[in-house]
Amino acid sequence: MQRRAGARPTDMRAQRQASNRQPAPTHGWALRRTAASLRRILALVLFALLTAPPAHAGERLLILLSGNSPVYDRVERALVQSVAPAVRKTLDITVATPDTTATAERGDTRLVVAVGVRAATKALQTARHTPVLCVLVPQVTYETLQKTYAADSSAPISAIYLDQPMGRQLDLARLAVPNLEQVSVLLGPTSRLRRGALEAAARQRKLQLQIGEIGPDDNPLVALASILEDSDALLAEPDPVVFNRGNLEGILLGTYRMSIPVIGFSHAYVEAGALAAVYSTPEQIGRQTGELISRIAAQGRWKLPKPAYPAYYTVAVNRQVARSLRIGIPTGPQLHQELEKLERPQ
Amino acid sequence: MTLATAATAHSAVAGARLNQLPNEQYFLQQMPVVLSATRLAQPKSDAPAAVTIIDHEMIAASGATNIPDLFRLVPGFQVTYASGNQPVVTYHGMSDEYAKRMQVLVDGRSVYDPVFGGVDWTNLPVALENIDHIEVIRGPNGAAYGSNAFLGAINIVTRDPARDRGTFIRAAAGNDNFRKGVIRHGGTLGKLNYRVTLGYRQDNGFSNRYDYRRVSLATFRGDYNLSPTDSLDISAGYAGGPHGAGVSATSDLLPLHDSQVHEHFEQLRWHHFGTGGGEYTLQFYHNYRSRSEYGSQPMLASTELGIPPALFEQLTGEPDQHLPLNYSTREDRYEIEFQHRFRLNPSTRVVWGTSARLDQGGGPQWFIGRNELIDAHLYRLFGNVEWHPVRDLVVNAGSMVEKSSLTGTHVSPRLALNYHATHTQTVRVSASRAYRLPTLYEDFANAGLVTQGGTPLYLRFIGPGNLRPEQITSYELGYLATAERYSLSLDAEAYHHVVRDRITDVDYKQYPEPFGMVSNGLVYGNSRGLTINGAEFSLRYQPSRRTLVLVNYAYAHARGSVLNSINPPAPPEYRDRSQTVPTHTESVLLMRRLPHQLEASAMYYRVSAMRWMGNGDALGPQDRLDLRLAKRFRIGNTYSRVSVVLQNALHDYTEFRVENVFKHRIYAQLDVNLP
Repeated sequence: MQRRAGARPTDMRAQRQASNRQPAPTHGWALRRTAASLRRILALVLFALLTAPPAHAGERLLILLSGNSPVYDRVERALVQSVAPAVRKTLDITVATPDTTATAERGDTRLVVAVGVRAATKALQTARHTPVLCVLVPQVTYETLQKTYAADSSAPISAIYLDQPMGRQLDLARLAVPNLEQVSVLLGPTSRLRRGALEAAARQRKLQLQIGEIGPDDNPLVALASILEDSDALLAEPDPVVFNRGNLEGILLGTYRMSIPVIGFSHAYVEAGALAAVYSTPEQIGRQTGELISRIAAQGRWKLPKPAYPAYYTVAVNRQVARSLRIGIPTGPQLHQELEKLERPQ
Repeated sequence: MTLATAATAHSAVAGARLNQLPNEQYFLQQMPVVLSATRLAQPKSDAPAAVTIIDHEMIAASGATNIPDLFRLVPGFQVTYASGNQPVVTYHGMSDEYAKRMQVLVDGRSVYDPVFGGVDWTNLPVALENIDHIEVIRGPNGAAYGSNAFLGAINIVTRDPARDRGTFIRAAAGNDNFRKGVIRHGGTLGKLNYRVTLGYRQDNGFSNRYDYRRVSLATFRGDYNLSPTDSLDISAGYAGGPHGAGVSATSDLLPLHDSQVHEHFEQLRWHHFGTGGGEYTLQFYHNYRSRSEYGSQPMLASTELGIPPALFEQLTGEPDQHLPLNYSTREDRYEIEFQHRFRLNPSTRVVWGTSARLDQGGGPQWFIGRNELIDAHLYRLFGNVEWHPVRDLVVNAGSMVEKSSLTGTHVSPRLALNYHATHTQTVRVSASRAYRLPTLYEDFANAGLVTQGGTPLYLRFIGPGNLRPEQITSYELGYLATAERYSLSLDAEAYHHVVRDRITDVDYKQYPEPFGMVSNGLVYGNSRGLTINGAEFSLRYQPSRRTLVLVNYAYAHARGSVLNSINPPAPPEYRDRSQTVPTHTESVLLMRRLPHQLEASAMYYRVSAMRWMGNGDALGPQDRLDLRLAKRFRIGNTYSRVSVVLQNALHDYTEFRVENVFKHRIYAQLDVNLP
């Protein structure tokens, strides 16, 4: 964190943004920087002091973004917009990145919302007593971080995952692929942690699974060939060892030639050639986060619920691929409606 | 202190693991578009012609050991064996041992034989095991494939080498000395995905014919990914070996003898995906085929010619002899082709391209008197526009302009309208024209008998050197429907095909021979044609990937005649050739995956009475039932399979000639996949 602070010009904007909303940092870390950095930071501190809003007496909420990518801004904007107006009035929202110095150390912070894995790592590493809500983080990543950093911490922590519940993905597969009976899933070192959930969800839906597992050094294309033979669909379970930029082309071309539709986990997969995907946008994650904050703030106790899957999601379909595979598929919004129906408590 | 140590240990664990853990970028990152519109196959309901796809499942379920047998699964296709090592694949019959009215491509490379026409399926350097799928166009497709895509076109697509990593071994053995072995290895070297295949196959052919084959095969395909947008595919292959040939021990021109065939090819394809979504392909290939085939006549020359031995000696200056037969040939094809596919606007896709081809061929006793190979040049310019003017209408307009050094310029246009009446039903109407160029043999044949000293004695086949291409005009009405609820899909078509200027051999009863003799000479010529009206359908029932039922039926009614013989002063005699087109062709494929990794399939094929041309016979209805049972089992992470196939489970039947009796054949096969 210190190595990167203020070192890159792109980080300046975040610093400024953060500084706009809070008093200048007072730590001594900057003394170790070079003279040039020091001068730049001093200028920044001065700027921050001049433009800082008057101190606010509300509940302090720290939104820790993983970086300056527009993705995080989108989460933040949707989050802030979705907080109930009555609650918002009582909040003092601070936005920071792990590169800036705003941390949860301040005693009056009620909640840290860590957006993305980098922010979550930082927040969990430094968590003492302040509750941390990690959002926009994949489940396996969150669970590993939690075990690694927060196992001994007394701070209440929770998450809104970025990935979808297994049941939802399987339901989409069932809705998108006619006569679905057998689904192939290739798991890697991280996604194998979800194998139990996957098998349970498939049992519940009377779907047969053909599961392959590979290690970091295995070739996913070879492993796929062995599990696709009888398959009606390939469910892409997020795992960088299995699905990545380098082999997506091989996987999509291979499955396409076998006329096996792929159910992806992001919009980009659908654009690339997957038949359909269910995923949550940064806005949808932000909205769920904002609503959660409203709820727990209204209760007054800031008690975090258990980690949750996205409540809001989008379904995308690739019509060209569907036509080419001779699959008559409803539209994304129609599939979304069907999924909602399935998930609605009976 | 303890806490600090624990924290450090945790960090170390996390550091190692975190590299592998997905982050939000992993979910949100952009991906290259793989299945772009230009790369996606045009859905059947948008295609301008009747298309049948033979996919890898059907290939496995068919139990076929030869590529040609797969075409029994195409509505209206006839598959036969002129001899055990000379398969013939045709549509609407109309064929002798060389099916000249069908274009065949392997990965975009034409394997149509420029000298005799047809395809030497036995020595095609393509392993059945490497085929991903086969696309078959029923009906003329000159607009896309050019001349010789006359009655139909076949496009064999081999598997992407990236899919064939690891080692695959196939061993099969059956009666009639059938043995087959294939070993394939695929791997990666840096940016190169490659596949090497070695194979061997032998069988005795028909029990009462001298038609054995022993074919060795070696192929290589390497796809070199230069960059995310560029790839270079390098392919090469060899196939060949000894074959039995000849019709009978006493035949004058086709006594029993051996032939040795060598076929090889080299192909280079460069793909470039442009920034605008366009795809460019540049390819070059070379095909080579040679056949060494020597024999000698069973009878002495004087007996053959019906003259006293003394007269033979006097005419030729050589002693009476068994005349030599040298049926050796050699042929080469070189072609360079450029193709560009792109989306002009959201409703229009365009493909266009150009190519130049050189065909060379020759053979001492087929082209007597020519010591050099005959050259034929072909230049092409083609294009197709797929336009969606309104939501439910697709217009395909395409054409190919060809300039041949032998027959001049020809234009093969096609216009097709596909109307999606509902989202499950499509009606297609199309009109097209295509040409079949004369083979080098038809145009320049000078085949007959020469003495050991090289003196021409007697000519049997003569090419006039001025043949026009055959022409076909086609009107088709197609109907495609799916009933998802019942897992059914139907592909039906009615057509009206008019073939003009047919090229056939005409019997000249008083053909002047050397030394003032006259005899029957067969001279190739254009005459009249054939009109074929018909309808066919393919019904597919696939409730899941575990069950497949495919039913094909084709009806064809042909009318027409060709010039048969000239014997002045008698008027030219025409012969009705409608019997060369079978009226009914049917096939059924059943496949069912059973518990315990078992898989059972059956393929039934029936063709009604028809007359094969050339050395073929008029045959009554023939049918055949093949049965297959397979079991898969796992070795480690990969599947292997053992299967047993019974070919022709019914009574004996006949292929092409009355003596080609197909009895029961049974074979067992083991497929092993090693990582």
